Amino acid sequence: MSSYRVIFEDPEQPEQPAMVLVPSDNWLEEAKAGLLPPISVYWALQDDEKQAIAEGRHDTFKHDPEKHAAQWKAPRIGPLTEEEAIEYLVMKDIPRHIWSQEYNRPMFKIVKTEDVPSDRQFRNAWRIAA
Amino acid sequence: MSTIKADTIQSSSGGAVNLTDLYPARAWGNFSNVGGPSLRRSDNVSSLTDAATNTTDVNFTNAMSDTSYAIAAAEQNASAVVHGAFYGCHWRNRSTFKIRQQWYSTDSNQLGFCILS
Repeated sequence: MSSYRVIFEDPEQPEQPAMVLVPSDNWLEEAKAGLLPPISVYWALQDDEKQAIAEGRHDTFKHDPEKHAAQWKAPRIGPLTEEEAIEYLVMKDIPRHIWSQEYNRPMFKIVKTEDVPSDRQFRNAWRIAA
Repeated sequence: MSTIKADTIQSSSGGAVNLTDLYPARAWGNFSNVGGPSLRRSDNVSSLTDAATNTTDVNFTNAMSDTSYAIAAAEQNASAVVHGAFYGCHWRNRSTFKIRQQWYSTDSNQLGFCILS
């Protein structure tokens, strides 16, 4: 199990509580074994889909076969440490506007797994601590 | 009987392979929302996002080719009551990286999903 979690907030959804990203063990093993494609492969797919949504043609949207196949065909980036893999995962699975722009406070933090509260009684009030 | 030993199977062009008349799951996972969120086992899932009470995003490792996939899901709470389906999969509009699922109880210690396409 990963030693890390990523806590993040979405500035575009201020009412949304802090979210917790939980890495998959399988995926982490693939990252450590050097089996991941360049992150740009995923960004290209996300960009195409975002554009389709903006143009209202998402129901019939289909990925460009070549870009889709790049997930398997693109040269691999080589083995990553666990810390590097978590940084890669932030760029893959957390919306780009959250980590690529500067705000007046941090919008995400990489934390140790044990630092995430296990008491969920006030789950919808979670915020990133200052 | 023959034995095939291989580490990776790809199509002749190097992409995902089409298995004629076979329809394997595109992704699956088993996770818990009791205490800290945890993902027990999965395939083609890079991560989960614990988004709020009873709400989880599933992030795919490899994107689906489109959004017309099907989701089968079920949950079991701490009293071992099994519900046939989640409350809803209300946000499936991302082939690239996520679906969003909500479920009935706040003590779901077994949540499972399977993506078919």
